[in-house]
Amino acid sequence: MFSPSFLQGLIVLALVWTGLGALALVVLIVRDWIKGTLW
Amino acid sequence: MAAQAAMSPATGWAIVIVLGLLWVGLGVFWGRKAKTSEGFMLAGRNVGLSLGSATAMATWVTSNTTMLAPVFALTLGVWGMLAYSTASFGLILFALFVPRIRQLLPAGVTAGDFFRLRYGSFGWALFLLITMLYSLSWLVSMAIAGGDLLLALTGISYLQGMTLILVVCVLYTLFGGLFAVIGTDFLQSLIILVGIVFIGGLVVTQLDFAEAYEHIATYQPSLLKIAMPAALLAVFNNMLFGFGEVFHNNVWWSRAFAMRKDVAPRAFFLSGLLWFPIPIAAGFIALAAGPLGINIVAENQTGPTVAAAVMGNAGLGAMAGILILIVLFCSMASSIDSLLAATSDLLLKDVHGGLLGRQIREESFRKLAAGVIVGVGILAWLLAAPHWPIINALFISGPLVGSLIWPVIAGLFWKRVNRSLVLAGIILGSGLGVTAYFTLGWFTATLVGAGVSMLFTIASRLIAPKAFS
Amino acid sequence: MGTAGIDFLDREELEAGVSDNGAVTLAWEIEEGTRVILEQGIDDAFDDALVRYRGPDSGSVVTGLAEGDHYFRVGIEETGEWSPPLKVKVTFFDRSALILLLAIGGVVVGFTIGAIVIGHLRTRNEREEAGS
Repeated sequence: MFSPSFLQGLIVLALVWTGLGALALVVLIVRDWIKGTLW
Repeated sequence: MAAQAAMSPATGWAIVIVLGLLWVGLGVFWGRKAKTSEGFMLAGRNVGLSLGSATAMATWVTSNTTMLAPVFALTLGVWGMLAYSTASFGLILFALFVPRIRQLLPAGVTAGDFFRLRYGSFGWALFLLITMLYSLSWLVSMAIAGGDLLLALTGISYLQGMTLILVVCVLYTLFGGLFAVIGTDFLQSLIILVGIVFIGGLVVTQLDFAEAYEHIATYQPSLLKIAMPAALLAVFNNMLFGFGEVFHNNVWWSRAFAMRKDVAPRAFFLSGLLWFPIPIAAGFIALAAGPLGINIVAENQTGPTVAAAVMGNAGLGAMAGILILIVLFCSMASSIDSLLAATSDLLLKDVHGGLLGRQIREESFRKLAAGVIVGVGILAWLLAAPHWPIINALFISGPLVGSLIWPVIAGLFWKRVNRSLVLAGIILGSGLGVTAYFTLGWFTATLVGAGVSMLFTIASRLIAPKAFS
Repeated sequence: MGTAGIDFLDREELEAGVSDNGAVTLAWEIEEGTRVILEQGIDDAFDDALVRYRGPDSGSVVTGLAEGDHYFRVGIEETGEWSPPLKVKVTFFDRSALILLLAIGGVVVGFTIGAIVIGHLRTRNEREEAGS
């Protein structure tokens, strides 16, 4: 059986990772915009 | 079915139309950047890292991802979610293809250009057949999902809902080409990611992990099994299905050509990283259903049922349906627009231009492209209207796209092959794979298709190979 | 025959079939507003039964069941009448067939990833040597 701590860690990690993904996209697009490398 | 819609049809119409107007407006605005046919099809070949990563990620997030992940978690447990996450590997591996693609085809426009270059007219025709079957099934099953979604959430009739979603996507794609597709994909990807974190976060705040674990261990012990057979038996099959989908399809090749040369590999790698946690973040909420006392009546409504219940618990009941509708609409739209664009590019360049040998003059390109996009949209509508189980056609295309994996690898990275053997591998792999689908089980089909094709392709390097011209 | 009119829909299919993933969809017909109780037991006596659901819905998707036989009954809360027991059998996919499938899958995926990585590295070195 997967342990309770593994499961909790997995779920929290997945949520944080997804959230960081959104943040990363925002940071990247601001950077692209400033550098004029959007498209 | 739609026993109790989460909102009134009028609200549903309003949301889809408001979002639709936004996408179409942006489509027209961004479409002005496309001054040439290349601009329309490949967004100027200069797309940067942020837009590139977002579009690859968003296109791969379909309504299947957000709707099926909870179903897999509910029925197959922890491994069900983890196995689904491996679908991101295809995007990550494609990053390794891209430098070679750009080197081999510096002026390339479609995946068809590659197949024609390496495998001649016959190989190209095989590719077109397989990719049209796969792409159309994907497109149509998205449209069907859209109709079902609007019916379940708002009570809008299936036909009306399905038509509405297709019309919106066709409009902004034909006005803006790949610029519109990529631009809207960025916004849609943010909405998807934030929506999933919001709902998942709500579930976490309402859950006592220790208690929840005990509940699941008592009532649903198999979900925590490490060696859960039903979850494991499809792991490699589905991974290969994902590989086949990404490695062959013009949706991804067109992006490889559209991004700046130095950006493309990193963008695909990043998109895979961004995609990886989504099935877990979206799926785990189904595991909370039991502990939170949320009864699931219909398996395929697991995600929306749990999301609506936890939002209701947090006093956000009225918003629940709206948020779910917006996230799912974005998941669909970001895939439908890509399929419309990539498929019409293939029809325009490969079929009209290549097979039929017709020249496309720059002045008439936009009109012709618009016509083809509308045509593909109408075809999709005709196939979606009767509400056939087209999703089965998508699953059956697994061995077909799986049999293209090794031909792509060989065509990109190898110097010498026996072309006939490779093509025989595609045909045999497809045939045996489809047979396996019906005789051995769906979870063997792509494995058989890819495996057979792999053997033939490896043999093609050893038996009378000829250098690529 | 249960004393109440309440019973599971699709009883024959459910009892004849086997679940390979421990998931089964149960449904029953009730009048609007009737509250039911769904119980699960290890035998049809339902001593120490687990209450899986209590409420007004007309169905429940039960998942995560362990291998073996499971018994279900649904009853009307108000009157205490129960349906006849429903037996559901859960049998997982054959272990050795699973291992074979995983082995073949692992080989194909491993070779595929290997070919991609090696191909990429080789062509990258060629590009670097060519100075492009």
